[in-house]
Amino acid sequence: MLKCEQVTYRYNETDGIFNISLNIEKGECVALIGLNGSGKSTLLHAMAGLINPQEGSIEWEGEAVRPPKVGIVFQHPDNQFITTSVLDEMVFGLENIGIPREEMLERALAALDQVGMRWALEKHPMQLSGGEKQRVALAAILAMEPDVLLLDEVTSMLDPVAREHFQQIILHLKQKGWTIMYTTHLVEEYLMADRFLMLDHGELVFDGDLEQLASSTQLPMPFTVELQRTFGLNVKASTWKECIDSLWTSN
Amino acid sequence: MDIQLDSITVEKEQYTVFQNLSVTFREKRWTAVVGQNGVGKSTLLEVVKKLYKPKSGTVTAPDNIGYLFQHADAQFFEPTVEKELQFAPLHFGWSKEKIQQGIAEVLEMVQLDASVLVKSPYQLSGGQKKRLALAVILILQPTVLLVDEPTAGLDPMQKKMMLDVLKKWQLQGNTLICITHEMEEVLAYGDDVYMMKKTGDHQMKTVEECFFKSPDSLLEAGLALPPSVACFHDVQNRLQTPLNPARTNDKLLRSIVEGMKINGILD
Repeated sequence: MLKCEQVTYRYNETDGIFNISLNIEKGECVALIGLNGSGKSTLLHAMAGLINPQEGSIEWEGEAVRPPKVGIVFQHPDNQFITTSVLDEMVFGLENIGIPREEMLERALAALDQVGMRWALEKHPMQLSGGEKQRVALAAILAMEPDVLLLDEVTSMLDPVAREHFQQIILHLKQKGWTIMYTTHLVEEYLMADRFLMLDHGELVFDGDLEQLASSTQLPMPFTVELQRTFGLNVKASTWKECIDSLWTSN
Repeated sequence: MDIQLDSITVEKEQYTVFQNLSVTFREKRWTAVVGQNGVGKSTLLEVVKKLYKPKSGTVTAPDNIGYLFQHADAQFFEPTVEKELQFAPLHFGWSKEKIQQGIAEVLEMVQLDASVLVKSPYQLSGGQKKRLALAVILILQPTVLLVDEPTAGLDPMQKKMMLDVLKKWQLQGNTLICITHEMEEVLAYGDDVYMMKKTGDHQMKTVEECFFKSPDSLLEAGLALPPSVACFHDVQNRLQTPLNPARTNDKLLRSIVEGMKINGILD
């Protein structure tokens, strides 16, 4: 379990995150939502151990969080690469956490397979498309086998097809039992989450599932949810096609 | 005037980005430029703005073109918002009075309060920074604006605010060319869609053609229809009756419900 207890990180009197307490269970897929400036990235950075909260504690299975136990992928694919080949990129993190040389390649290839990028092993990261770069960035984190995967608006710069491909990878990882927390402004991506946490001015103001989110907030909702509401169906994560199919079958 | 690109060829590091590309962007329209990552959308805008010289071909475009880059943060270098807004007009020799009037006008246009003038641009929120970057360009009164993913990274409220500002400016008789991946925004705000394909077989269509008359063209460009439009077409095919197309999710939903009621699928 990832446990945040009364976590505060202040940039100044009004900006930051304040007194955040929450638990994330192993295998949960959680969407962290809120307006720009509400503190989402700050909370993710604190959870990843990239910044130290001024107050409170963040623990995974009773120990203070730190990389590589918690892995994070950022928004801009271009900002995440420091080497000149995908292979070097993959082994850089592994080398830094002391993985034996013989195990490195095995882990790197397994992670690249998970995101469908083994073919790019010899490529320069900057030769890849935005979606491909982001998949390599994710693979580099997966190779380190973190317990928790944090994704900070990872699809916002991707074209619709690359975005859908990346979303399928996230759903696949979710099915395999990874613990995932992601931020997004894309309402259609709400459908990937089991649970929603909402921040407002650095404070945690909502913790619940999709149905509770749809009924207790004025936020724009995925089209499927609008469809479910219109036809009096239960609000749940499904596709619009499943909703229409069920209406056709019942009539 | 329209913006016309004739037989443009662009090569970058032995890689041909465009080969004999010709396209016309109609004046006073909102043209969305869509396509997969790496297809050359940003290069196209750089050619229009004459930041990038093509190997061959001609560009016919007005001189007063504004360019809003994707990362607003990269555009600021002055210590305050006011100085940021003054920089370009001072460079062009504007009088103090004209600059003050221009600042007041653009702040209103982009919906920023005058209280931000004394702040550092970096103290503003993501949405405010984008709108400040826009104001810095609009103060010079361009008639054409090139924008590269203006809503990437913004929350839904800030997105709407930014898009409404751009739409209002375009409807004042200006031309907007907007690179985007957000197909729902294209549907709601665009007039024309320039679909760029990896095969080089780029196509210009109106929004109506692109989303409702020949939606397969978007799929051929490696793009996807928004769920609301995909659902609209699915229901239309099931009913084998034309439904009323619309530009927003709620109106599309209404059209779907009406169609289902008329055809007895719903009571």
